[in-house]
Amino acid sequence: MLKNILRPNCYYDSVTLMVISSTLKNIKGVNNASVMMGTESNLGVLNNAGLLLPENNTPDPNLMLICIDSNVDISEEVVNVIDTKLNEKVVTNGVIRAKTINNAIERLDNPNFAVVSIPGVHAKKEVEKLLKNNIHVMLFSDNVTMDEELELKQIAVDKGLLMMGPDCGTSIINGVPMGFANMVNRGNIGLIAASGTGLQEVSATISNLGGGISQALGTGGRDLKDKIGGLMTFQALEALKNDPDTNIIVIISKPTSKVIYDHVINKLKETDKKSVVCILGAGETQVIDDKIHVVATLYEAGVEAAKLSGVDVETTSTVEEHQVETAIEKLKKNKSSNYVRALYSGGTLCYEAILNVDGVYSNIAVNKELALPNVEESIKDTFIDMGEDYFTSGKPHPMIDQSVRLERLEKEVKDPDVGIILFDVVLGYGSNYKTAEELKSKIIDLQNKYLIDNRYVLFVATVCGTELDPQVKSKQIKILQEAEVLVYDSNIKAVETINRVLKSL
Amino acid sequence: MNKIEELFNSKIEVLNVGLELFTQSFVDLEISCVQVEWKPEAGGNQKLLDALSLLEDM
Repeated sequence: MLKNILRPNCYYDSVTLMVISSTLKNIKGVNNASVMMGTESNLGVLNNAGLLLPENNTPDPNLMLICIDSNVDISEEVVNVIDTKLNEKVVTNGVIRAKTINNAIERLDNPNFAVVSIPGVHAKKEVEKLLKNNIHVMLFSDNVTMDEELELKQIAVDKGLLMMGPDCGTSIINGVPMGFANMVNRGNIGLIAASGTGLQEVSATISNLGGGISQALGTGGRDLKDKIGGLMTFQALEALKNDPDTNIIVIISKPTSKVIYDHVINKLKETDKKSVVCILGAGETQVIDDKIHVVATLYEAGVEAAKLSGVDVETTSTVEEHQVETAIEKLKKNKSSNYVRALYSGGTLCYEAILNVDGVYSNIAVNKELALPNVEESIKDTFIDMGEDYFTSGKPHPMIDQSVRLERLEKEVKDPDVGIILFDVVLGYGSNYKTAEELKSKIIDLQNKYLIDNRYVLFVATVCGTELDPQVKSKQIKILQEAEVLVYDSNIKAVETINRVLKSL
Repeated sequence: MNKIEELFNSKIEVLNVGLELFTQSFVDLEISCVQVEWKPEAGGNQKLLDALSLLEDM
């Protein structure tokens, strides 16, 4: 039976509701259930899942819908579970609460920064209020139009403020992690990136090698598009050029237009400070004017920046040579194609991996011929960005809740033609603290279920984080090693092993 | 001192507008923070929102 319970004027954010929704199927008697706000796109998701009664198909963004498909009426139990979880505050101590931005501003002596993560359709209006009050903004929201982004950045530039985003999930300001960000050493290296796991990987690498971060500024994924013209990239660059605590500047980007690239290089030539420019997939490394180091991987960016800052870099490995050789020998005995399947939570990490392994299919393929026709079905060697919109429509991002990734992991391991699994574990604030534990349990379960009769699957992981993170990097590595995963602390090192294994087979 | 230099040399005082999970770092590091329990104005009704905007512009 299908039941819908409607709660008007009962707004909760999508992540809270998605995380609660993912637990409802565990209630005995529930076939499927979801709790969502009644936006048009959410109604589409509920309709597709067969959870919405026809009379409730009118959009109302302030209406909460509880939709339950069960054999008998257990709606009371489901509603109790939902209400209990809604009443649990995520963070109870040390946080003052306010109903509106104007209210909140009055509660602080000198409010100077805001993290905004509300539905994109409402973001512009709220960000304008903040910029009007001279408050720098990190805008995590997506579904903000390019016109709105341009308008907000023009206001920010005119006022000399930071407007990092939209779709900017990571920054580190004065050593404080904002959004999904790692706890890192403070130091003299300033970073600028579209933001996300690229910035996390480089900042963590620098910190792990003994360097430190002065500031890590995000710009949003579209900032270097011609329409936006790099407004925030150049705002951030000026700030780091003038910051006496920043001696080395690092810029991380996907490939951009020649005009924008040349402008970036020219700006870096104007300063005496040394810099590192990481253009993912650019291919060649080079040094311009003896001070601008162009590299092609996130790890190289971290290493180069640490060296330039005066650190005596020593690289070590978390995996021993014999472990890789043993894995190769076991894979050779498989009677299968030994395809590799990668399931990433970090989009930039997945992108970097695709650039460095030939011929992989993907849902974010650069080469259109390698685009998966159906993202639910892997083909041969396939690398998936599980944080892409398809997987997060109505579901939480895998860095917060990896239920969808774990389901896909089982599907891939079950495939007898699969020999290698690659995944990332991204630590830091904002991320699920139990990612490694959940993966360890799942992998052991899958090994017992499917890896019988001498079938072997090699599990390889990259852990992005530091010892200072709440999860503690070395603890997470150890957890995964208990499931016989080969664990690396940089994405490119994990990918290099994948390449080596594939070439040996 | 410009506003970004000022930010880099100030104690961070932050508004978190939206997902409460982002406040954990502020709590752990004892950063002054206000959690804005944001809800759409006018119940998210676009016609009312447009009317409110017009009034604000007057």
